[in-house]
Amino acid sequence: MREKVEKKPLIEIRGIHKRFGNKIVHGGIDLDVYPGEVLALMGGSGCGKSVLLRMIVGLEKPDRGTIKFNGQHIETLSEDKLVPIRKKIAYVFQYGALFDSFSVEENLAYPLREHTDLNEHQIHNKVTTTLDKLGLRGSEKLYPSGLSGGMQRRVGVARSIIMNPEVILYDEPTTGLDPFNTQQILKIMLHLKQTGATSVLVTHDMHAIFSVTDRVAFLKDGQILALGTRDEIKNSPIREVSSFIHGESY
Amino acid sequence: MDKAKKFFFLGYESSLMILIDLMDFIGGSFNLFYASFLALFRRPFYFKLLIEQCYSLGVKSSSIVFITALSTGMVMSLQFGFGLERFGGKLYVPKVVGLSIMRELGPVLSCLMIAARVGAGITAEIGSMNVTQQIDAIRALGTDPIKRLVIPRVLALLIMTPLLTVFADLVGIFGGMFISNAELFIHPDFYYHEAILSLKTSDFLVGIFKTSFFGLVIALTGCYYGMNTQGGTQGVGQSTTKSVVTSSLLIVVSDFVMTKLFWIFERK
Repeated sequence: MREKVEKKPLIEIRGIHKRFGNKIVHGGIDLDVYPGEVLALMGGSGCGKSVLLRMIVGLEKPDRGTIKFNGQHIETLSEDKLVPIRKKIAYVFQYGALFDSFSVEENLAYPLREHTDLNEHQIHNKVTTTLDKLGLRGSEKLYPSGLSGGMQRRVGVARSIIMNPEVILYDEPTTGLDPFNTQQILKIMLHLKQTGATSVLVTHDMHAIFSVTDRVAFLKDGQILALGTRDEIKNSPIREVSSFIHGESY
Repeated sequence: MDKAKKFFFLGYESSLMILIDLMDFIGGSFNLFYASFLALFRRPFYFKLLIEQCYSLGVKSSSIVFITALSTGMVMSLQFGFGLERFGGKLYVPKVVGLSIMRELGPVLSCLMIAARVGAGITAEIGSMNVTQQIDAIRALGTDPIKRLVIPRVLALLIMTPLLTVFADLVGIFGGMFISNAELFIHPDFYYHEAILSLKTSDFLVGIFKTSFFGLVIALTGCYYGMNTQGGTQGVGQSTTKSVVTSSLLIVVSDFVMTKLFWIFERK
């Protein structure tokens, strides 16, 4: 923990305010994400975890406050200027968000065709290697409608990591999955952690939180109520946090 | 009295909502047009997507345009034939049919059919992509949904609607010729001479100009409602309905405005 505190944060979030209509989602959030760590955002439904994640990649703009990636402000950038940032920050969507008119291979090839000069042979090789890593070999020609929910999530992860991003943002990657697919996703996350990738994870899955994360932030009422290592959060004296972890009303 | 008040306020509220929706649509579609215009000149250019859309939106619409135009030409011939026969004006049928199809019915009816088929398709496809976060995925992967989804559809309709209208004009006039010969006993040579050769270039160009505008309206309306779809499958259905109704109304209303403007311009 001390080591991480001394490091320069890769993502700096300061004073974020966001509201949708009358609903205040964020009321001044400050958060740092350090290189190589896995940070989990935890909290009840509708507390703004996913909105915060979307802000980091510029899919949502804060009403007030700043978000910096590698020292560069994200909140002020236009869609065009966000492109180089989005090559470095991958977003894993809750249900994969695969392009349903593309096959698995075409889904994975999409970012490579858009952002690299690789030829079709090289793209095919890279797609096959990535699918191998995720245990999806043989699914190249399948379409998303022909995949199970777990496979769709894994293909979504594969598409997100194929460009070797510095940061991976996971939006509830294991929600609704069977234990096998949950385990597969967690294995991938652990593998990526070992390769030095930084991850921010939004989840309600306590097993995921306590098996892959380094730090956990607990959001409530538009604020960060608790922030600490996973052990600190596990043994938190804050009633709301411990109730949430143990599935009690708070 | 209470019921009357309630009725009045309900009417007031729904009128206000319609007005807000309308302002939203006008502002949003102009924004989309402006963003698309700017993005049109920026790399990358998706020519393959443009060709795919030309095929899917244009070529695949040719059968409904064919049936609509053929039926229209035949009905016009029958109606005018029997109507004008009473006044001894049967021989004016080719001119009337040719002019009506070329200036009005060819462009308007084919574009209404395209709006129903293609406008609904565009909104449903983009709307489904929106509610399943595929548009967010396009953005998150560092690409532009306007370049990938909007521009190919707008350009495809700008290219294909005039071509389909030329096709509809020819089929409509042919339909009229067929019925004139079979029912009114007007010789095809006479029909051809009267219908085609008495038309001016401006009659043709007016129709083509209108169609290009209608194509732009259909594509932008479809994309606007698709990109702003919210609320799952029900939202997709609502957006699709709104898209077809809006583009059909815009076609009919703008047709009147353009016809009036062309009349003023041509009379000078």
